[in-house]
Amino acid sequence: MTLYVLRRLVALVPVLLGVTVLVFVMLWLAPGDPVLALLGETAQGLGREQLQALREAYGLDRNPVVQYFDYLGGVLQGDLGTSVRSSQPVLSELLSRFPATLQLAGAAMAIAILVGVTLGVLAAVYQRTVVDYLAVVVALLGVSVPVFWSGLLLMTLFALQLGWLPASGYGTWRHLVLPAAAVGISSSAFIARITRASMIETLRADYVRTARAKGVPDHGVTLRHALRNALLPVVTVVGLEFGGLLGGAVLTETVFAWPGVGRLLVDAITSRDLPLVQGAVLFIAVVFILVNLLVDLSYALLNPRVRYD
Amino acid sequence: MKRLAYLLVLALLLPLAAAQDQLNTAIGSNPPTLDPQKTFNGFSFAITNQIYETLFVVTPEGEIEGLLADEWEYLDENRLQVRLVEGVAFSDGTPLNAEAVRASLLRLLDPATAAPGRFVVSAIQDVEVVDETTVVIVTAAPFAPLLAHLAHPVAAIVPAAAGDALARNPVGSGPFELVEWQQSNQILLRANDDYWGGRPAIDEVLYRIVPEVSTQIVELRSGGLDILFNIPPDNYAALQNDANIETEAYLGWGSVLLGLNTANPKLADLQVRQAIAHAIDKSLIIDEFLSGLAEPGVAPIPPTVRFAASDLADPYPYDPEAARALLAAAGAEGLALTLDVYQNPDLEAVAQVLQFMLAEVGIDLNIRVQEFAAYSEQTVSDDLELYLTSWGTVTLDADYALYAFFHSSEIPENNSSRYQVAAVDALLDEARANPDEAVREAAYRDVQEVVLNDAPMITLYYPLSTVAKRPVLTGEVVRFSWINLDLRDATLSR
Repeated sequence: MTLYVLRRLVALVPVLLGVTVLVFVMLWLAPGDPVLALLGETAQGLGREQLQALREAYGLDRNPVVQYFDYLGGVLQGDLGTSVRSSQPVLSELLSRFPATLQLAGAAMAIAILVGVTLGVLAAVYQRTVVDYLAVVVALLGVSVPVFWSGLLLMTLFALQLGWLPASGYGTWRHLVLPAAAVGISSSAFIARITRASMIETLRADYVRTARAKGVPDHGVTLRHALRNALLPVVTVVGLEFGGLLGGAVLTETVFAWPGVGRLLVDAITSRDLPLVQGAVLFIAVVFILVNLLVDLSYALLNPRVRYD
Repeated sequence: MKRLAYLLVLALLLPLAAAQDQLNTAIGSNPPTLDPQKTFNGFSFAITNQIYETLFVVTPEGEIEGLLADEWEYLDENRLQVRLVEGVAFSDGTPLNAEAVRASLLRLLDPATAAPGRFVVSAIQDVEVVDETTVVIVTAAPFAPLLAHLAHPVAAIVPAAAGDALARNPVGSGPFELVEWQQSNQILLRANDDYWGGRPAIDEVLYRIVPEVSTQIVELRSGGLDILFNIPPDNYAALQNDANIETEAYLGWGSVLLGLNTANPKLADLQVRQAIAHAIDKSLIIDEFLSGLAEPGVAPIPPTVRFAASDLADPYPYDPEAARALLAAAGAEGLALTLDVYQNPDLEAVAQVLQFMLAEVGIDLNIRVQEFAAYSEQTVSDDLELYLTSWGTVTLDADYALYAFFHSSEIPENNSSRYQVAAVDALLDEARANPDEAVREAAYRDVQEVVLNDAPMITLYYPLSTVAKRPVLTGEVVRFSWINLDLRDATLSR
């Protein structure tokens, strides 16, 4: 098991190297002068010499290959560089946004699992009944409705009409409810569909029939015998969704003014803040890979037949 | 006795209640820094303008008056002596004296600072300290708009010794000071108890960072925010019908212009440029696509800017017949042109209207929308044809726009129209060098008249800035732009 974890961690290195190269090349191929991208519309009024002076001051006049290896050297020493736009260390920028992202992802996943698994189990148990169809419709709506729309709808209802919750922002649990619900509901749809499919399959399994034959009550069969075994694919989906959310839910963060990693990355991309984009992508890649590793390891807990020797 | 106890409790609670006197507003993006010298970003300036102060300021009436400067006079054409208001200190107690002003301006000028706004003060050669409260600002050559440039937010006086720490921990002399900056979430300011101009009545100002306009509007309507700026036309119309919200649209410092590259063979013929000008129905753009939130433009700068020749008549009013005749006379029938524009909802909409209007006179317009950096690169390239630009004359002095647009030394970065007329260069140089207001006025009037006729740029409109607020806030002054929200005499009554 330890050896397996170590092997997986070593495999991280080439993946992350690839990520840095890709991001670097993509940003260099993007059209437009990086200094102008950095300053945006505010570059109006600047002359040629002034732009050149700024280019030199930001180190953007050097050979891109030199810039890349400089950067890589820093990363190997744990230095992700300095954001060009804010002159703050990239790592501290990322870490200052991560708690917000973690909270939103955690709360959203809790809602998603609760709603998704419940809907999925109900749909499977009452297969081809009104309950099943209703659950499918709810799940479909969850996937199809974009969060910037459902978010505004939630906001208008709960903040503007009812006045129960603040419309946006970050700070207390009351601020967390609406964005977590918006993300949670859309993630729950996937979980519900996977749970339903997996449950239908397990409910037909021999051991479930045996349990019934033994006289185990219905809810016991469903929850203890079937659900536990049906959870394996669900865990995979949950892990993927969670990993994705930890990379920042850009739209939700934007709509609800949530100060997470996603918005930081988008701002960095639009202003071509190269060190910050690099650092953020690297950070998100590491988090995503680690979450997936945890998911793989959790299989062994859920199913004793899975072993990593 | 019981009543006395109640009164005591009430008295104890009072300071708490007063701290509730907090103004809530929002900005659309996390400012990159709160060091006004290290940025040229409006979101930064909106906050630094509350914390820092400049030597001069432009009043709502458009006059330049002293802020940190008490008295000033030109010793000779290159030496401006400024006597500072006495007894001013930064919020950490350091005196804001002649030495501080010198250090601050020299930091802005130092290439090592890499200040994007350095060009605003690049006319300054040196700053001399005369005594505790007197400095002499020395320019290499006479620079008439100097006072206006020193009123630019980038020229705010900072305690230079604090260095890079100013990015996150600003220390200014202004009416408010920073309490806490939660990145991407909110910036809390509180009244500077020792403010030299008298403590503001509002205790705290909370700037929430809310990127989505729809969210900002919901917050304003639900009472989460008290005042909002730059509301898009559609939302503005809805807010106008809300009884709990006061709205106002005002003329700022901006103009939206269509640039024509006069060095491009397709546009070198004056008749072609005149035809394009005649083909554009400015009031249609404003009424139909901007919900009336703009004023039609003639001069390149809006009437709020000093020396704007706002009474000049449009030499090429909307007249598609004349446009077609001019194109025929120039032998330019079937002309195909490319219009460059950067990603901006308003400008993109205007580009589409222009496409339609030019098609009416037989010009086939191809619109190329790119992000700003790519657009800027295109505007300096020789094959540039037409371009749309939105310009803010932030110093509110004609020099800031007219020199950049029409002086040949600014080709191609700012003068992307490659407009090169020796007489205009001479007028712009004279108006920049001569401190005599009457001389400047006359020179800028001539410049505007000439460029209107030559049509290297066509001013489409001056956008109106919008503000919406809950009536709890009174006494605030917005000087030409949302970044200049003056709360010194404002009060909140909840």
